[in-house]
Amino acid sequence: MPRYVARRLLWALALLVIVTAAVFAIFNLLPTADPAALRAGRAATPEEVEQTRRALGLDDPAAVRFVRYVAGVFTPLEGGPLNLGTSIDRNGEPVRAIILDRLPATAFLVAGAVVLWIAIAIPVGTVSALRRRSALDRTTMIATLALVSAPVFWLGLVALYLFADDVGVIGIFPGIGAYGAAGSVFAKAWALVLPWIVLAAATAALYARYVRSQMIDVMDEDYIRTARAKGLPERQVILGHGLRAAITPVITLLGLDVAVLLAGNAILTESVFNIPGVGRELVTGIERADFELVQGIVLFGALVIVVFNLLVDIAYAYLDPRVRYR
Amino acid sequence: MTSGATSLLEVEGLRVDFETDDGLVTAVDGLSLRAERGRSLCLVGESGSGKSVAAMSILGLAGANARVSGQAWFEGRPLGALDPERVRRLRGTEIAMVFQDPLSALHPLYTVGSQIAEAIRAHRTVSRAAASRRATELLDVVGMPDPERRSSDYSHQLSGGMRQRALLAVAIANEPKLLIADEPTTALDVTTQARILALIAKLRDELGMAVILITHDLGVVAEIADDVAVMRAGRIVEQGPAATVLGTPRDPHTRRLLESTVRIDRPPRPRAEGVRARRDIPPRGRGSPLLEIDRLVKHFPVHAGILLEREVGVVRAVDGVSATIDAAEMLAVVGESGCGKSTLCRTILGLTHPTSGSVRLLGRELAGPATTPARALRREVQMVFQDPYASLNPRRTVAQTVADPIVIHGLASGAELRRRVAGLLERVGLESGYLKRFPHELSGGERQRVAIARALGPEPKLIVADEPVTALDAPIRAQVLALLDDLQRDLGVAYLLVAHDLGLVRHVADRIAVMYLGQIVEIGPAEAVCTTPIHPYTRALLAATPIPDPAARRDRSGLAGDEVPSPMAPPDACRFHTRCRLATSICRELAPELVDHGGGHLAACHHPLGDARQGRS
Repeated sequence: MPRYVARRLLWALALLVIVTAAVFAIFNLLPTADPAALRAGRAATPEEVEQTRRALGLDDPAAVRFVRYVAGVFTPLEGGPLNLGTSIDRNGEPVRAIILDRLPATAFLVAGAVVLWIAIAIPVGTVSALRRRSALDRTTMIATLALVSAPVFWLGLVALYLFADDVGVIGIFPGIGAYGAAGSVFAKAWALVLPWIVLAAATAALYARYVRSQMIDVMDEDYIRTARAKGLPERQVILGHGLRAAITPVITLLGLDVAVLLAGNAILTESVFNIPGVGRELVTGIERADFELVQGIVLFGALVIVVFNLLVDIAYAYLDPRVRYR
Repeated sequence: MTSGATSLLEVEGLRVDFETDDGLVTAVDGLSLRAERGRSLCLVGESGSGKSVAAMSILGLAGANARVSGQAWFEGRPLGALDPERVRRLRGTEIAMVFQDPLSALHPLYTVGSQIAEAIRAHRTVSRAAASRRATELLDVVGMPDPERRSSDYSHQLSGGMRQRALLAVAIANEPKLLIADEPTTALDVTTQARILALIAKLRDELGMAVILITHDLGVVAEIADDVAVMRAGRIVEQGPAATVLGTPRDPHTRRLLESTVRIDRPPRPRAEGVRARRDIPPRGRGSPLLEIDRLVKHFPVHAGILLEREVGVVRAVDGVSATIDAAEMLAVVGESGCGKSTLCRTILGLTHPTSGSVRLLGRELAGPATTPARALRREVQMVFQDPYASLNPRRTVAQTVADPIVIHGLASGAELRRRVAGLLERVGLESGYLKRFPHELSGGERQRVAIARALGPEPKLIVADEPVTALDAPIRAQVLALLDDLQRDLGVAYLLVAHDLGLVRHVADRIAVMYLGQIVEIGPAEAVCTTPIHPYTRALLAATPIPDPAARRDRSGLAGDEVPSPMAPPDACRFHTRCRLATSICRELAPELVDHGGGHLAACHHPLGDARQGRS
């Protein structure tokens, strides 16, 4: 196990450097708007643009700029660690500070949604698998298909129209912009109830189907028969032997889904409910051609995904000894 | 067996129907049996005869769509129609079960020890630590080597025999009165099978258990059964003491089963459709052989390391094998799992490049470290695989499957192709009605016939068959082997036939090569190898092969050690010395060479059995 973890860790580090290089290449080597011109302001003369370029070190060779960039991201040098540059649009506010400011909202949104979708998907998937072809199974599977197919923004608007306390038919939950206005943690959680439901709905449906198919396969395995032949209570057979084996691949999926949402993919839910998260900041950056902000968020997202990938690998080895000993 | 309340388990008129989309399907139809304390009852039958379903319903595990009726008593107490609720209370305490495939029957994510401890704690209030100590003791009872260490291993870290021992430890955790074993040795090597059967018999005697053992192999029956019940189509067609049923079978079905079981201890039996003695073996070494395997080596590197994986060792799958096959000759390669016989096949077929050495067909290089043989040469070698369920594409019809290699090699098209395909099917005993069928519409034996027809398509000189009958029932096995035999005689095709059962190949092979840890330890004419083995390993394999005759029951463990050493670190000098009862210091110091003991019968051993034989006679 320690060997395995050490190996995954080294691979993750290598991957981080490769990802950083790729992001750097995309934003600095591919043709884009001239960052010096963007910085220098709308009415700048060519001389001023050149001056800005020199001041920012943009006239250095790409290799030098890359080394500087990597050093800034990973080491305490060059304003690091995690120096993701400065926002063009906001007078040199560090991108790191912007992301760290927006991250709690996104993290809170994602964490709540994860708890919700797991809490729904595992029981629903398990019961459906055990009562295969029953009315309950068919109903839930049709419902999940509908939820998977529904676009998030549409689902969000429907939820607001039905339940938001300002425009809703049955106004019980806070609506658009409530998160930003909320003060205490409890008020924020209350403000996130609708976004949680909307964000979790499609994923819960997807996971329920996945748990169901995993569980159907596992319950047909010979070792389930062995567990029954031991005389274990059926509850223990299902939870201790069946679900334990069925859940392992679900964990892998979960790690990556959480990573992608944290990296900015909760963008639709954040936009619909006007939650000041990382995803919404990314949209703002793109709209205002805030080149460094976008680059910073993209790199941050990639780093989050690499780190979660590592966590998933370690968790998988912990859960499945066959991986551990490879 | 007269009636009386003393039977441990009594089943009367058991009937099991399954509710399917096509209506009710009857699996067991009026079965009655008794299991007596301290005795073994064998339920024998072909696949689909209902024997497993009967056993599962005794445990109340026939499945949710099963409709069970009949009457049962356990120690005189009524169980109703094996009512699942009432049976459940007996499961794991009074009645325990072991299954066919010990790998899939153990949970992959829990240690072996914890699975045994769980069985104990499900029925008794003992501490976790006490249960875990007891688990280690039980592993010792079932003969697990190094039980303390193995207790914390996972099933994927154990060999097949160790897994079955672990599963037996789970079964006897609460000292059950009845043990049901469903084909417990079918997935194992003959050497391991002999040891597991002996262990079951020992546990039966020590714990006074009744054993119900389900098998399709009459050799296994003779080995362990006190009583036998022969099943066919959900009914028992004959039952009684083992010696009577196997000695003087009354039912034609029992006789058919017995006749189709090849016996290692008997010379070839003339076949029903025409008396044919074994072809005279032409003198070898005249002219050049069809296939020459020359010092063939295949090592698989094992990688480890943190970032850039270094090579830390090699698995010596095939380690210096030389042999020849003449035209129209059948060479059988026999050995335990992991001896490298399948890798040998794959290398000859060009599915993997050898590390060194070469294989030549008619003097042209077929396989070498850097050889890519011409398609025309590849055509001469075709293959038949072990699992006919996996080796046919389920989406292609029989006609398409058989036509494939003919089309690939550009041998025929259009009407000529259709004519050839129909001819090939007829050749393997399938009518033209099979042309449009898909694999799922065929039985196992029919599928293997299709696979053989496919191999015959390009008119090869050699067919490499990797355990072609292992997955089939005994009567079907005999038919498929007879087909291979006929094709050899009629078409002059040569075979490399891989098997793990000497008894099976004795009567069809011309010569037999015995492999151990990547090397040939003995090779010679089939009769000579089976009747006067030279290498102690061959003798052990022969002794382990069960014979369908209870009178021939004896100690079948001819080996000093249970487990095959790892092919990553094979023992020095003679690789067999760690398991050999005759081993002396020279065996640990000097690797024996293959030496001719006369008549083309070669063996690599410092203590050849021939000497002992001459001394006796």
